[in-house]
Amino acid sequence: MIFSRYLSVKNLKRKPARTAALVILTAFLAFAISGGSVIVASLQNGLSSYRSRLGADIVVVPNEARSKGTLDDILLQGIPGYFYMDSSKLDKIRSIEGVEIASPQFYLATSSAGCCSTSVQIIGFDPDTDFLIQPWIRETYSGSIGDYDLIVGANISIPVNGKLTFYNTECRVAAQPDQTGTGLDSAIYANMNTIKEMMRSADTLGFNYFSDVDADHAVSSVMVKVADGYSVDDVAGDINIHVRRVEATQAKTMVSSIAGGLLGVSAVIGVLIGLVWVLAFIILLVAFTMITNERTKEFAILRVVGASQKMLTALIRTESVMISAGGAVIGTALSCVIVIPFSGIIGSRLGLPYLLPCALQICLIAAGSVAASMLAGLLTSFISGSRIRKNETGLVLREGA
Amino acid sequence: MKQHRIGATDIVLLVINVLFLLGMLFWFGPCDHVKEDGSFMNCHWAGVVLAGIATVMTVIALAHLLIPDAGMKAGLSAALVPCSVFAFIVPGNLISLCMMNTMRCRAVMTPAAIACPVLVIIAAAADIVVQLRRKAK
Repeated sequence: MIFSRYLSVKNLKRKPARTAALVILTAFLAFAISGGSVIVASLQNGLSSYRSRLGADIVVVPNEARSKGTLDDILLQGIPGYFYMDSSKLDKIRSIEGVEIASPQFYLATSSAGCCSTSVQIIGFDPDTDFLIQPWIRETYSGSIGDYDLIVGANISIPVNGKLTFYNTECRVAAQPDQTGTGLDSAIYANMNTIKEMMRSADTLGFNYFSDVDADHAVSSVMVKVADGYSVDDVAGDINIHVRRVEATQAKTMVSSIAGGLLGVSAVIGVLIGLVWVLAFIILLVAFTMITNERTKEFAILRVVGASQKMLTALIRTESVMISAGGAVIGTALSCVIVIPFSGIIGSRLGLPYLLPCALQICLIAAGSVAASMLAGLLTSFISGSRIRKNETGLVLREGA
Repeated sequence: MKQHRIGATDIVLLVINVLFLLGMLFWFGPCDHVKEDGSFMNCHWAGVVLAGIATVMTVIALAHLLIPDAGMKAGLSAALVPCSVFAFIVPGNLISLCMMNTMRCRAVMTPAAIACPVLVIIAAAADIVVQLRRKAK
């Protein structure tokens, strides 16, 4: 066994170009498997995070917001947007049978300032009725959210002094919740008083976002929780019939449309991984078969000097394991070094909720990809190794003479 | 006279460092946004520092390729490690960047300043082992 390992190392070193080519091929296979798997797992994580964060049964927005897809932009990609409807609609929604809680939210997009700043989505909520944002915040912050307190999404860096100023309104950063992989990470949360103060300051500074809206009597969206025993579908229908110029959408419809997109992306990645695996398997098989055919005389001589058939098979298998293990480790490490740091840009390009799996899950994926790549190498070595047994030693040596 | 052989780690080190340098100059750099007063933003200077470090690292990798002595090669590889650590900590730690993680300096430049130095450290560590074994022979 030790001799076959020694001989394998010598063989691999003697043909560096061939060894490098096979290692690169296996590395490419491992890279595709582990990189693709991390992306698929991140998309699945993102969807489950989005589902849990959406929380409401029904989301009510003004007609124009739904038709422009603005709410999806805010919730999924964190693209700042704003739309308003009269707050009287909130009372009408609350009066509809089957509505257990109706909590308003207010969206405000900050202006893009000069240095190191950009337009940011600010979401105002009513602490008395909110059942979505506060449970999420409580996972990391147990204090109350007072006036001029901000909850900052995970994608936003907090200044050293812990203060952020929007429209000349200086606020204190109270907490930064964990990452969700959705647009919520790029938003800032405040109570309604803070938002209204910002609006007043914005108005004073000449920003006319609210020229046709009475800021004190406006809301952007209403998150509805349906009471037990009522059908979400029926309540959403009632809201659409009885409250004019709004669109009530079931949260599960929003999630299922994203899930559909995610399923498509995951399927494409899955098929690509499968194709790469099959392709790499075929190339490795051809390469090992050619190498074995080239070395028939070498194997015959080894047989003459006393090497058993088992030893020759072990020689081929050891070479294959060395090549595939090297390639698998290189490819998997490379994919971790590239796919994990660049997760932000990958997620934003996909336009879907994207949340990296935990370290343990990533380790399991890496181990799985190393195993799958090595399996391809091992299978090819078994197939090509079985050809050696068919060769007749005497015949091979006579033909070569 | 002993023949100067170019090993796999010589090529790997040079390729990663050249990619890091070209990336910082052409692909991974920060956006060219200028402040209202006409001055550059912090992330611009972080990009300049990273390009500078990448240049130094590329020169070291080139010297590593050309110098035949195994001991010196190991020393040059060791020199790449602190340079990589420096590149690693420049964006966001030594020089603050923009506000949002979705912005180019955070979404592209910082990951590149993590990925390339990590690869250099791994390749340099492998090379140190190879060169020290060569020297021992």
